[in-house]
Amino acid sequence: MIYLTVACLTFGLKSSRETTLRKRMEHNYADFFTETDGNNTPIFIIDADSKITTKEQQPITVFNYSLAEDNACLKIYADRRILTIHHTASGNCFSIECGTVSENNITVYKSDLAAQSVAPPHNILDHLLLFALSMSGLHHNMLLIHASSTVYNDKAMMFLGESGTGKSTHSRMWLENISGTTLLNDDAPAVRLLSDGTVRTYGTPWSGKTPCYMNTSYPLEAFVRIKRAQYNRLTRQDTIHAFGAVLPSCLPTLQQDETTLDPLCNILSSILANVPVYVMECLPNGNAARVCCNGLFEYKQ
Amino acid sequence: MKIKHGYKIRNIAGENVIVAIGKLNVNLTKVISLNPTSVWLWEKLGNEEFDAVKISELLVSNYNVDRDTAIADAEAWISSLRKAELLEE
Repeated sequence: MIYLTVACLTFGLKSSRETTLRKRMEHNYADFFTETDGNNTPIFIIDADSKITTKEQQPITVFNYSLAEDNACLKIYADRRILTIHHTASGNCFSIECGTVSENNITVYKSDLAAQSVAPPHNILDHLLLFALSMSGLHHNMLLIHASSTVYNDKAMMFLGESGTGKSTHSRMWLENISGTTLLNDDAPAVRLLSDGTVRTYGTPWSGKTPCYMNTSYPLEAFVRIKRAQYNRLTRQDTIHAFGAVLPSCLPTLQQDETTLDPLCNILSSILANVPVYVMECLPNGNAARVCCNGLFEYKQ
Repeated sequence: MKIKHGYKIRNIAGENVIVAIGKLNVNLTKVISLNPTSVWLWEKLGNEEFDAVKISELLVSNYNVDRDTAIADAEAWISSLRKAELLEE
């Protein structure tokens, strides 16, 4: 069994091809491999040698989306959901089924990741594991957010925006212009509301094109939605706009039906009661980072 | 006309909102804030067909408002819902 711990949540990946999988995952999961000592029970286990059978039952909802060159399809049934990714280059399909099956009180998700003649491509393995953790995370006050996250003054900031709006660029402006800034994650950091009311941001094995796989966490200072403009201006958002600014950066796969949208909204609502949200209208320049930093930290250059 | 199926009022940090998820594109996610009168109308109407006259009657019978004002308010309410694409016409 491969054990992984992301955002202080441990989960398992079971396969007869464990050695091959582990080697394949080394690149971005190395810092997240753990051993269970019996104290940290995994929140779920993926049985990667399973067969996924789509029974003749009609799904309630089908959600198709694209994943770079590949196509993904989420089928939602009353008691389970199946995410299938069709790998365009090889013609293979890889699936995971998140349902209510459990063994010894541990939830088991079935997957055919390791049950095929070819090894799963990295992006597909990543996406299926990310989906599994995002599903289970709903029971642990954890959300994965499409964001670029930097750390300054021991506090994390999460920069949000649709692909191409300049999240990563804004992070880079911080790294190049504000000394003491470090990158935590560049694509899918996790955020958790802890039992004492604090909110923390966690690095994950999923960081887009930037190899930044940090198994560390920091208190979350603010969410900042990035919008392109001809000037640099930071504006605090009221409750409604804050929610509207962050929700689109949560996983679309969790927003297709109420079973997942309800807990997602509840977690986000509690997080936003503790963390401010800003909109940063900005140019892709160093001054944008200084204006943002000044606004968030009243920082003097 | 009637309210589109599948939307429900959520309490987000103390505010009543409707979350409208874009089916094909996440950019289309909309969060619509409802004031107490809107919440009342929304729950009262449920699945029923309505028009501006029906809403104005509801307003007149429950709020201290004259018919002309109620019609104007009803039309404004319908137009806000239409703009937010929450109506089935």
